[in-house]
Amino acid sequence: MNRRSFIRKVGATTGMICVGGTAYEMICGSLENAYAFGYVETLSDVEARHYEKLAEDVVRCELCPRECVVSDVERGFCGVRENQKGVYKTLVYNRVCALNIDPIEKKPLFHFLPGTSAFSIATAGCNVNCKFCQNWNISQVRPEQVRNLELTPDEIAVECVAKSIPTVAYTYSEPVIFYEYMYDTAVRTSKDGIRNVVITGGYIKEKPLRELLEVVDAIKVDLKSFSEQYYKDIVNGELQPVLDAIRIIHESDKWLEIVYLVVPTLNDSDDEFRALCKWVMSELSADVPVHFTRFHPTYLMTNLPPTPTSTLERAYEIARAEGLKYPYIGNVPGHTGEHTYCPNCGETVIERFGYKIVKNSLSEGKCGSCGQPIPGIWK
Amino acid sequence: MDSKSKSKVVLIRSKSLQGVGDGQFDTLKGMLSRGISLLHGVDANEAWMSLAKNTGRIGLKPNCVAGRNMSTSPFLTYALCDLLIAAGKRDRDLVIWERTNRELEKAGFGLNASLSGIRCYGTDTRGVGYGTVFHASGKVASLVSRIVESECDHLINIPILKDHSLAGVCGAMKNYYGAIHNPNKYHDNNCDPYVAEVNALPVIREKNILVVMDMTRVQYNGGPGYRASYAVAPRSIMMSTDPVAIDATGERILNEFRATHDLKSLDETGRPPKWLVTAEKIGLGNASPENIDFIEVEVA
Repeated sequence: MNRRSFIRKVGATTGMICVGGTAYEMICGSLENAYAFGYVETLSDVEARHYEKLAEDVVRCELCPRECVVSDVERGFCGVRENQKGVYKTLVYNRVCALNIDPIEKKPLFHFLPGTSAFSIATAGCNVNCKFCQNWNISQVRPEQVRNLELTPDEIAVECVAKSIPTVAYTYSEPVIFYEYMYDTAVRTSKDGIRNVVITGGYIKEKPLRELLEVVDAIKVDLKSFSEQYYKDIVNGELQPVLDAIRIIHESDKWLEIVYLVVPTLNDSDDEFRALCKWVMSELSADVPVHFTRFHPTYLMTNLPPTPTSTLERAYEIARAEGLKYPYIGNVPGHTGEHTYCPNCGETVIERFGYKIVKNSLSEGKCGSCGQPIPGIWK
Repeated sequence: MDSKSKSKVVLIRSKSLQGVGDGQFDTLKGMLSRGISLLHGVDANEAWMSLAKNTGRIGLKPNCVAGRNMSTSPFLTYALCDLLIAAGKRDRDLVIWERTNRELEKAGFGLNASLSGIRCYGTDTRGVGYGTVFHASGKVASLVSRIVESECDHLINIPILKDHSLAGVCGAMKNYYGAIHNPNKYHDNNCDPYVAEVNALPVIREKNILVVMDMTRVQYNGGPGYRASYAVAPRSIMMSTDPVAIDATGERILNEFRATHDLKSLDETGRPPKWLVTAEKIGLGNASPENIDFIEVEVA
C-alpha cells in the first residue's frame, strides 16, 4: 500500500490520526455501533504461534500462562484465538480496532525518546479481565464486536516513515494476544529504523517473551498489584508470572518501565507499596522507573472514587525511601511527581505537564547540571 | 423454577424420524405436541395456546456453533414455530436468533431480518448488537444481546445435546453463552459457576419459558465441535421447563452413550458439569435425579 491509499483507508474515519487526541475512542465507539460502518468485516485467518496440538483436534495455547486448552470451534480466554479443526488461528492479524498517534509519555514511557510520538495500535481482546479496565470496550470484546481496519506491517512502516514517527506502540488492549501481528510489525518497521514499544500486563510465557524481546526496544509493564489475591479477584490472572516476565525483561538489554495503578482501598496500603519497592530494589534495579498512577472509576469498578493525590504521594515517598531513583506520579497533570530528577544533584532533568515536555535538560543522556548519567533510551 | 418441587423432563422418540427431520414436519410436530402435552398434563392444543398467549415476542435460541452436522435442526425449530403460529402467535413475533448470522447460515437457517414472517438473525446484524448495561450475577458481568435484553419478551431454548470439552455437557444452560458478549471469559474451572450464573441473569432466567432439546443427533464425546465418530442419532427430542433438570438428564444420557462406547464417564475424564450443582444451589432448578420425573415415550 502506498501512502495515498493508506490515507484513503484510515482517513475515512474522520480525523482519526491526531496527535494526542481521543481519536481512538471515535474508532472504537461502543458496541452498539459496531456494525454501522464499512470497515473490514472479515477476521484474519492466520495460524497462531506458540501453541501445541493435542489429541482429537484439541490445542493448548502456549502464549500466556493461562495455557487455554481449546477444542475445535472454541476460542481461548482472550477471545481472539480460535481452534479451527485442530489449527489454532489468530483472528486479529492486521485487524486494528484502535489507532492513534500518541505522545510517548501517554504510554507512559518517561525514559524513552521524550517528547516524541508513537504510532499506537491495538486489536480487540485481552488475556485478563481487570475490573477497572479503561479500555474494556476493545479489550473485553471479541474482534467481530468492534470495527476493524486492515493494516499490514508494511503499511504501518510506510506511514511511520512518511510522518517521521519514530516509534510504534502496541497498546490500549493487551498486545500479548495479538502477538503475531505485533512481532511481524516490529520486525518490519525496525528495518526502517523505527522503534517498537510494548505496553502490556506482562502476562506472557517465557518463550514467546524472549522471542519478542529480540525484536522490540522497550516494554512497559502494568504491575497491577503486589498481591496474588488481588490478581485473582480483580485482574483474573496471576501475579507470579508477571513478576517472572518483568525479571526477564530487566535481564535483557531492552528498556523497562513499570506502572502501578493505585486503586483506593484495594492495593494502596503502605505495606504493599513497600513490598513492591523492595522487590524492585532486590530483583531489578533502583534505575527502573515506577509510575504510581491514578485510578478513575470505570467498567465494573464504578463504586470507588478516583485515587486521592495524597495516596499517590505516599506511594512516591515510600518508593524514594526504599531507594528507587525514578518513581513517578501519573494521571495528575501538573504534579511535581511527573518530573525526572537527577538522583545525584537533585536538579529537574525533565519537566513534564501531563503528556507534554516543558523542559528537557538532558545532554547526551546525562544530567545537564552535574553530568550524572540518567538511564533510558534518549535518541 | 421452584427447586423444591419435582421437575418434569420428557423424552419423545420417533422411529420414523430420519436425520434432522428434513421434510418431516408432521413427525416433528407430533413429537413436540406429545411432549408439551406430557409436560403440562393438558391437551397439546391447550398447551401450545397457553404458550402462544404470552404477550410480546418469543425468541428461539438454537445452538449453531458446530455447523450443519451438530447444530440444532432448523426443521425442528420451524416445526415448533408452526405449532406456536397455529396456536395464535403471529409469525413476526417469533425470532430465531444466535450470536452471528454466519453461525445461523452455516447451521442451515435462512436469515430474515425483515418485519414480516418468522424472523431469523444474529446479534451481529446491523442495528442489533449488545446492550450497554452490564448484567451481573456472581462472577459474571456481561453485556447481553439486545435480542434478549429488549427485543424479546420470552425465550424458548432449543439446544442440541452434545459433549463439551470443558463444561462436560453442552445443552440448555450452556446455550445461553450465546446471549452474552464475552463467553470466552467463562470457561475456567469447567465453566463453574459461570454456566449457572449466566442463566441466573434475570434477563435470561425470567424470560425462559421452555426448553426443547434436539436429540435427533447427539455427540457423546469430542465436543463442542462436530466429530462424526462420536455422533449418534437417537431420533429424539427432550422437553422441560427446568433447564437444570434437562441438562442433568442430558448428562446421564451422554454418560450412557459413553459407557456403551467404552468411554469413561464425564466425571472420570475430569470434566463433570459441576455447574449443575451450583445451578441447583442458587435455585435455578433441580439437578438431583430424585427430584426429576423423567418420562420417556415413543411416537409413530
